[in-house]
Amino acid sequence: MESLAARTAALLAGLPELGRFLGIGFPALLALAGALFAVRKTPALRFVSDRGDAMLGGLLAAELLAMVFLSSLQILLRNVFDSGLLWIDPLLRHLVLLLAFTGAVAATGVKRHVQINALGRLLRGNAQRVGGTVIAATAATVSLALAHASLVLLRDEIEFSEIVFLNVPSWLVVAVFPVSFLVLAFRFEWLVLAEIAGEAPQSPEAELAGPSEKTS
Amino acid sequence: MTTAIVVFALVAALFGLPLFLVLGLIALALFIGADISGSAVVIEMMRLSSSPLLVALPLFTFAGAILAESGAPRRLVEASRELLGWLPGGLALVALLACALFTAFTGASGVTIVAVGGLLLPALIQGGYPERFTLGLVTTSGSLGLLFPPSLPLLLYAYVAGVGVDELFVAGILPGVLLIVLLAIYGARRGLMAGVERKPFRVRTALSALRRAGWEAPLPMVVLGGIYSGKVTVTEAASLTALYALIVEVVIYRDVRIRDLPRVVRDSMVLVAGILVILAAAFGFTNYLIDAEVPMNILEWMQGAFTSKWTFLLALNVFLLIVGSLMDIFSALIVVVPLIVPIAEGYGVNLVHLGIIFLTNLEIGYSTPPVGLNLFISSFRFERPVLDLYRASLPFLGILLVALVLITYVPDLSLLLGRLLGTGGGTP
Repeated sequence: MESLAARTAALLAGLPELGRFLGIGFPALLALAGALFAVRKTPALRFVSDRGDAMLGGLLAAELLAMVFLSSLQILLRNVFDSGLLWIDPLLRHLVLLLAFTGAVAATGVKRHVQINALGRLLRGNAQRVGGTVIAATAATVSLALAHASLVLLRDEIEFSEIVFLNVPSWLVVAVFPVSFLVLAFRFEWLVLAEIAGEAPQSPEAELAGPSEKTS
Repeated sequence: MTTAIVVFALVAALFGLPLFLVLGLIALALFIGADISGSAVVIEMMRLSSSPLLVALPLFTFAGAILAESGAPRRLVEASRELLGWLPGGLALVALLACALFTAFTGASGVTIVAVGGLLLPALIQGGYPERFTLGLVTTSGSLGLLFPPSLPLLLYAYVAGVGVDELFVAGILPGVLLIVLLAIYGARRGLMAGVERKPFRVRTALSALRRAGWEAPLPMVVLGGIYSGKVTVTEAASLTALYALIVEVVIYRDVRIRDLPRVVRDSMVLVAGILVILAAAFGFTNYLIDAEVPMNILEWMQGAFTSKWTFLLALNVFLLIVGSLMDIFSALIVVVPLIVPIAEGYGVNLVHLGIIFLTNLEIGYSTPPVGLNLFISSFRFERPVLDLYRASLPFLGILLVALVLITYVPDLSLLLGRLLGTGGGTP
């Protein structure tokens, strides 16, 4: 863990300021997304992206089931055995954080973020595509800016890190943020390309009411 | 520069920028504009891991999703139909109760309309209720039950406003019942007018329907009994509910197959994560506004315009109805509550009462044209033009507004039970 911290710190020492970070990060991620988007229909990339989605779903399930069982275990220990495990409660609270950002990453893949979108939903045809592209590019930029802010925080946190629970140092908890925001930025860049290609997913309401045959 | 970014963020919100990024962008702009490092925004986001109460959110959501995926809606509708179908307007009452109970467990995420409404609509029309009435009923009932524990909006309000969850859970009961009673009276009237046939009560079929729902029926009692008796905390009740729902639906009824679980988890967690990241992004935003004394300035201005608590509450209702028709309930709670709380306190409004007013407004906002979410979900689910649903939901909106006025101006509806039970709801 020590060496990982040291290596991360060395990496972060060269962190540029926000403007430069965006100037380099946005086109770099777009190029990466573009290269992958170009080969999106090849079996290899399909395999990778399917596995990626499955892993994300699996991760969410693991986080949630861990919450269910750990909190139930804690109740059992407290009420039946009059004891308890000190690390369960902080772990549960941090799982909320982890779950929130894992879920946000998953939501981007299916375009299921909570949004106001009062005007956007009135757009049709080409206007809808242009609007969708601009919004996705904005989302990618904001995600990158937040990634920068979290990298700054991570740089400071490594210096003054302490143990939060079990043997987990606080900087590792903080690392959830830059990782999530960078992945989010990448997925929004992908969405930019999908919007341009007219392959972006449907609106959330249509998705929600979609499987209408299921219950009837 | 800061102002330009904030305006840009608001416009982008109207065109569909995810709300957590809207708030994140505004927070970044405000902090950096005030010469504070942007990393402070992320430090605020860390608060997501500081409250045990937030652990309850994903757990209750998961329990609700499992129930929605299973045959629980069907068993719930069947059992309540056997028990209440003999009353005048009985089927409408069944619809109201089933929706309310289901929404309390799943939150008004549209699941109620899709899962329960989908069963009720054909049954009500077949039973002889006019189609427009039925559509309106099912649409507006999609958010009925928000005031009953353990609904997520109640939990979230308690967290954001810093009020005891148990107080709020008690406070919602009478107002929630009021909404149902008023709608049930209307339903009975329409049922009698349309000459709807009543289903005779038969002990044998009623018992067998109850037996079929035997594993699910005790769930509300277990949850509420546990919380009200003080035996378990809300978070513990949430984990027990999740575990219980998981075992009952996957192992006992086998309605949900193991291989479907990852999908159910993913869909429900995407939903709850959406709420949580908005909460995370809003910490920085609302904190900045509170530090800049924005609510205090609004309060000062408002005290000039609205001299009494009662005119303030009227203005608040109008404001919240607009918010409720624009934003989903969770975002509205997260963004608006921290700003309203100091203002309401300035007017001497009890925060528990404020919560109930808040949630009633947002519940109505769900079905308010032009953009109330229930209207769109119904439109997709029942394949009707949205305009039909506007018309169909109008009489129901009227009734809900009457209830809102009562809830707003009779604080005891929200506070009386708390005083009687001693949960402290009476302290101003």
